[in-house]
Amino acid sequence: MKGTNLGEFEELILLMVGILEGNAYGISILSEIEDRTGRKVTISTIHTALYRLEQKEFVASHVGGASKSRGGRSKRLYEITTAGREALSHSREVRESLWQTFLAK
Amino acid sequence: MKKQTHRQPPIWVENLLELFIQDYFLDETLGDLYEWYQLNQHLPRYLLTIKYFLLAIRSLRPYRLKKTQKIFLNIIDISMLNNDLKVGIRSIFKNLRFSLINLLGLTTAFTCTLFIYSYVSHENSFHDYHPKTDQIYSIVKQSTSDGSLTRYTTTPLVPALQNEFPGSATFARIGQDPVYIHTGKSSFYEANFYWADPTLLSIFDFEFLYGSASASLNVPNSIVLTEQSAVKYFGEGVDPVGKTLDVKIYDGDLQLSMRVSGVLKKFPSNQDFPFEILGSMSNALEIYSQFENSWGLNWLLTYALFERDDEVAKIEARSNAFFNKYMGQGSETDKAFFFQPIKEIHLFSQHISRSHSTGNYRNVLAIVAIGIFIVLIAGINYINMVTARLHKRGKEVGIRKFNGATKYQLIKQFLTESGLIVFVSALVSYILAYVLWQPFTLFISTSIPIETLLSPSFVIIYLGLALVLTLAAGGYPAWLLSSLDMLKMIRGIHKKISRAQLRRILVIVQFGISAFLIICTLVIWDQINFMSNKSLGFNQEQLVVIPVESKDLQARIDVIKNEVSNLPGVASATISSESLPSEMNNRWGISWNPDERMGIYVVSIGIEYFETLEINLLMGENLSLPFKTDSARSIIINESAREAMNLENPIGQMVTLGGIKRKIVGVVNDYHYQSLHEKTESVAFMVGTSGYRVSQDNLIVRLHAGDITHHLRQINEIWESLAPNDIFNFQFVDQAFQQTYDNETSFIQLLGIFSLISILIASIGLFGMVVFMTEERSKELSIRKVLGAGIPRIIMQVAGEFTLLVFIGYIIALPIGIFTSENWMDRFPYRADFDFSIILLAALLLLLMAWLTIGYNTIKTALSNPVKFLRNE
Repeated sequence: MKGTNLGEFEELILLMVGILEGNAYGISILSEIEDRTGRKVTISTIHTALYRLEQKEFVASHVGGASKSRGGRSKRLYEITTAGREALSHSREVRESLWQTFLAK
Repeated sequence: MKKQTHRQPPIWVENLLELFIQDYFLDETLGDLYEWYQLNQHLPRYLLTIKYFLLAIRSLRPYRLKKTQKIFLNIIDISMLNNDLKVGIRSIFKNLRFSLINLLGLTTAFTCTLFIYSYVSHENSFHDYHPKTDQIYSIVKQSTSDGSLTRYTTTPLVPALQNEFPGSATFARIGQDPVYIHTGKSSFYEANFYWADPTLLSIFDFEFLYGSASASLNVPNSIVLTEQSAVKYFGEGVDPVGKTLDVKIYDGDLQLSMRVSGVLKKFPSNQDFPFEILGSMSNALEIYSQFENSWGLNWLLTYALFERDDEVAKIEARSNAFFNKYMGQGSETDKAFFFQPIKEIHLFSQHISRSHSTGNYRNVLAIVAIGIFIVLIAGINYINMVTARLHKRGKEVGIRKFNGATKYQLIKQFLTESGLIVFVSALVSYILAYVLWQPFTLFISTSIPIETLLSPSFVIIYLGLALVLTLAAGGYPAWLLSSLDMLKMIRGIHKKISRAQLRRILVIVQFGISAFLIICTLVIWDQINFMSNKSLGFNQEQLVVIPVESKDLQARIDVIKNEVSNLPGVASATISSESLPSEMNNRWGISWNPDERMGIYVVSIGIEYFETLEINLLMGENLSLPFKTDSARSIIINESAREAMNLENPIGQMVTLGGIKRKIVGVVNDYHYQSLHEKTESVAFMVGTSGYRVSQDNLIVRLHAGDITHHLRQINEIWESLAPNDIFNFQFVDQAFQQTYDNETSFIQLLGIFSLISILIASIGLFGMVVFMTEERSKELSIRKVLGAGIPRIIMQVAGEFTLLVFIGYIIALPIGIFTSENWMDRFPYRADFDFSIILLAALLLLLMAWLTIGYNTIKTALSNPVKFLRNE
């Protein structure tokens, strides 16, 4: 099925959405990535990745949580869908099996 | 609550994103950016802003963008332009008459501005198409005696400069030498033949149509043609490189067969090189080898290309020492030289002789001023039209305010309206300028390329002007209306906004400007008229000058003169070393006692000279033929010379002139040998013989009235029998003198037309004001009529006020106009007496225009039936 593969960065974002359960949006994902992996990413890359994931229906979004710290703008909160979870575990399984083969060498 | 100390992201970036990003993504994007901004507050402010801006730009991903159409709609929506435009257009059509008045005035003003701007930028652009133009200079020399400046330099100057300042600059000289060229089929007199150094072609990077710079002028006997002269001799589209032309050099008395080595592409119109054909300088140096070390003969224009700017001042500072070294201590003729940037030659050369430049920065400044005046008058029209109608708009504005319109919105609405009118007329003017381009360039007799109108800088400035005018003309009424109390406006109390006082002042300004221009035009016109009509001190009617260029013929000039004077159509004929108008090529030293000496122009003439020209002998007697005793050494001086020498009765006075003792035998009237641009200076006349130092090379003939063509044909026959190979050329003295005023004449025409236009625009405005006023006061006037006021009284009521305004404007402009025009005429040594009828004429012209414009409406109101205006209430 075309377009349902997870890219490395997409997988990372998807995991973050899962980790941040209920509070996953652009900036929180950005700081989570920086904290946990030390990677520097820009906000627009994250937005684009989220947009692609949503297109692939791995995440769903809803609007909410306007606050003063955002200049009165509401957040778009993302959560992982069943398809997203499946895609994650699928990619993990593939990787696991590849690891097994690799270690057995 | 915690106090917000955080900085805010720049609002304009947010606005920008709002404009382009779809609503679906907007909050997410902007919110996240905002948070990012807050998170990174530790960064320095400028860095933060830049990073924020870059992030914002990067968030403009294609999938997030709005449809193009929607972006435009958004712009219009945000600014409420849609509504403003609609209201603006409605208001324009509702007051069609006033709108047309505005459109007409502004369109005329804009069209004038376009023409003026293109003229001025053309005048300003001279020589700036050469790649190295900023480094190229022209040498200007200052004379010791009177400090006068000239562009003509001597033959040894450049070698001496190269010797003294080696490697500082590349020099190129050109020198005029009229020649006679014939090919197999035709022959021409070429007045603008110039000898030129090969460096000329490398300094200026001329474009070649045929041949190349590297192969031209560096071998003897080679010539370079301009495109026009190539067409003249070889026809259109023919490559003449390698072909030869027979060139007869009059002054060198030599015939050369010269090979064409290149053809220069037609020059753009913004240059004033005098040459049409260039010959190799090496020929000239050979032909005129006697001048190789002569520091007395000035005939070359010298250009210099500097590699480094600082060299220029360094060399200039040493120019006096340079002349002392090469021309002897305390050189009598040349004191110093300096380098004038070639870009300045065109406009700043009035005081430098031999400049071949027709430009004049004063004329350009005058035209710029007129342009500004015209725009000002048109702008005032607009303000007056709008403020006059303000009370009608007052209610509308009041209600808008009541409904919550902000000041900003109101101003924007008025600006949209003025912008509409201004930009429509700007557009119409642009088209009009295109259509009228041909007549315009013909009128100013300069072929400015029409592409000038399309150049980006031009368009930007034009749009800028329209914008400024929109703001200036629309801004005031907008500000006025939006700052007033809305309740009063709705209830119709608007004393404050009628602003009659301001309108009166503005009308005075308009007519003051018009009066100023009219007065200047009249005064300057009077001066030019005076110059071209003033008696020159000799009779110029039916007087013809025939140049005798060939040395061979000059030797026999007496023979021609005698034969010509025997013709029935010829009243008398004489010879002279100077043409008329005269260039005065010979200046010698004269001394009348051991300690006093001065420079004097020397003219060698035939004895019939004064008789033929009808010049009055004031004292003494005429010169006599040279074979009588001592007469070769008798001279006649003019009145100026007598005054300069301060001699009560100079007859019999012995003087030393040109190193020889001579006797003054007579004094003649100061006749004007030149146009009245120049003051008549001291002149000495003597009878020369052929082969004399001052060669007699002009035949001056007075014809009988009647069939002039026939008379000239007879002279031509004699000419051809004596000199079949020389071209018969002639010019009428009166015409030649008139031509010297061409520059002034075309300037005064330009000035005249623009003053008329300015008064026309002012009158259009006045017309609008009268229409408005008669409408406004129709009830009042009708009541006056009902109560018994006569028609004349009503007319007085209406016309009186405006007449007074026009008159006040005139009174203010009068002294300024007279002062300015007198100032402008400073350069003329002979000035017309101030003609007091000009004062009257200008006043009449203004009042006439004013009355013509206000007349119709005034009389219509005065004659109308009062019931028409009164029955409504």
